[in-house]
Amino acid sequence: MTITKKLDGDTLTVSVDGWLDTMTSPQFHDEVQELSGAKNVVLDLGGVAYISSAGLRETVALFRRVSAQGGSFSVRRVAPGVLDVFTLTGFDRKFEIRTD
Amino acid sequence: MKRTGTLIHKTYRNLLVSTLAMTASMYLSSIVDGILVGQILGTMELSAINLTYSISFLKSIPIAMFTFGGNTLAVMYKGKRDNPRADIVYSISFWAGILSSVVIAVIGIALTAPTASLLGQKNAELESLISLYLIPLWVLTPLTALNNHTAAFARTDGLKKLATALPIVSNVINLICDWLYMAVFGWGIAGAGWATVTGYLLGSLLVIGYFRSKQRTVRFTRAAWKRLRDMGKILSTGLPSALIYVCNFLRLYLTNAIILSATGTAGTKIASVSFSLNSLCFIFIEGATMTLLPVLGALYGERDIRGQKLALRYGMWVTVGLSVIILILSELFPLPLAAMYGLTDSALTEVFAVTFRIMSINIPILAVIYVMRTFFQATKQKWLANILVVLDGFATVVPLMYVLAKIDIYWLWASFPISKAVTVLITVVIVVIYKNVRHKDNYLLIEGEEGPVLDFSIHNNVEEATDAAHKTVAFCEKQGVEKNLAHNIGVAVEELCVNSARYAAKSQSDSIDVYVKVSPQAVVLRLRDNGNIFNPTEYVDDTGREVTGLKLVRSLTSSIEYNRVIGFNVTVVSVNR
Repeated sequence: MTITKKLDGDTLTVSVDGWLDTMTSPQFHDEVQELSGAKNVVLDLGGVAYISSAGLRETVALFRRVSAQGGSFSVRRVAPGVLDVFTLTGFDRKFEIRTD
Repeated sequence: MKRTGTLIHKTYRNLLVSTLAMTASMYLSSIVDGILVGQILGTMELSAINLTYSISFLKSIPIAMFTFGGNTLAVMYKGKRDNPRADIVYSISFWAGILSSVVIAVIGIALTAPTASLLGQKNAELESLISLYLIPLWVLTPLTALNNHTAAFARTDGLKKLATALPIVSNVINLICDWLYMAVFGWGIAGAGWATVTGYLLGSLLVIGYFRSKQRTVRFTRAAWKRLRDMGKILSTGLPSALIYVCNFLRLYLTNAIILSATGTAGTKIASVSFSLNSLCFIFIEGATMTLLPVLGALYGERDIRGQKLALRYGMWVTVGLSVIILILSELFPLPLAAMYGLTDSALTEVFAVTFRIMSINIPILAVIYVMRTFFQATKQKWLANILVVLDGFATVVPLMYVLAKIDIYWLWASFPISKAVTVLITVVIVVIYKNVRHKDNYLLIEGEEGPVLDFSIHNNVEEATDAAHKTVAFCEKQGVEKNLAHNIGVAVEELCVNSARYAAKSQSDSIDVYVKVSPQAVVLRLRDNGNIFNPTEYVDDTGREVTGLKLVRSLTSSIEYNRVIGFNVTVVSVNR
């Protein structure tokens, strides 16, 4: 899994490429510890074809940290299977999720 | 990642130890019984007991029918996750087994005198010894039914210690009482019989342990009264096992008659020692195949075709391997073995050394026949199992012995290995013809997989759980399954395997069998491990996490079912298309 971060003003875009599963979620956890002073976070999952509960937990944890500091959190370019995971667990009602 | 037999082999080996202990205690007690009778009372008494073995087989017919029929059928229902039906089968087979054994015992006792006369072939001394032994033999019947039925269910419930202890305790007490009743009290041949009754009576106290066990997966149910028609299914499932005893009864009665008329009492003495020693091979052959029966039954219930083949192959290797060891021992040491029974007369031992060696050649062929019979029985090809039993147990050996006995005593004993070879040959011909006529996929005559299937095994750890998910998603997408459904099945594989690794796995060497089947209506996933009991449908998460793997699996899939069968955790998940 590769993770790239791009800071644009007070918004950090985190792009993930690969599977967000039990084995890779610790790496994701480490990478998003440092938000480079950004207030808002956009999580670009365009390269993620698969997410399991471990990946979902890390995503939700990131959302809570951003919300706690008063910023906005959204998930972009979500694949169909990954979208199922967000909608069936009800997280699509907590933060913005877009397929584009 | 390929499907390995690790899980099945491990479960087979686990069950094998307790089953071998059971068959060893059964047959060893009969062997040591024979040795004690031969040493304390003499070879004439030993011959009398040998002549009653046909009665032992006769009374075992209803016991085998209800014990093995009930146990195999109950395991099959558990394999299909139909637990209420398994309880019904357990209840009917238990009570019907006890009741029928009481009836047969009462009839047997009433007919003691004519039975002794029939078995003794007009030899007054033998007749009188036989009638003394017959009464305790019949009294033993209901106790055997109780102990065997309980041991069989305890074994498939994973209560290995209890299943092992039941026959061992019974037979150890039997042997102690043998010495006490015959050597100390001087009760003669009747003492040998009453010693067995005492052993089984005291051993049956352990049955209470099974009834009180929390690990017992089958219960008595009143619903059995409304489904007495299940008796037919129990009887037809147990028929091949019971048919063995029918054939053994007929074979022993007729072969003993041929031996007695062709070779006289000297030949009968050789026969009694030969048959007693030959039962040594049954410890291993019957033990190994009895172990295979519930394993194959469970795999058949789950429609695990690859698993059935893996179990058959492993069971065959183990059974034939064990039988070859017995063959080598029999060929190397016939005289020391005969001496144990007090057979030391040089005129007799000279003949015995040759006849016993000839007879022993049948052992590995017998192993193959028993394994194949078990396979056909467990995969519901009962007609083929029954053909094997009749051919092996009766139809080939009796006519061959009748003809060959006219040549000399050596050819008489050669009828055993020749008849086994003939049995295998006839069965192979039947299978080949049936396969070609019915256009079956394979020579085992079992159905092939319908539709695309992914079948592989992983080690029970977190690392391989995610690899399994990758493989599953790739397979589903290749089969044209919608991307989101393929994803969801992959997530289910990962989450369930991770949970198994974290909560159920006993060691790193444990493995999980993963099976994915794609059909136009649904994608079905089956995971099997042999770890601690872990029911994902009942698991209450106390981690405090808002998102857990099992919650996610429940959200993403259409259904999730769990079953615990012969020590396996089996979870079946389906996602409708």
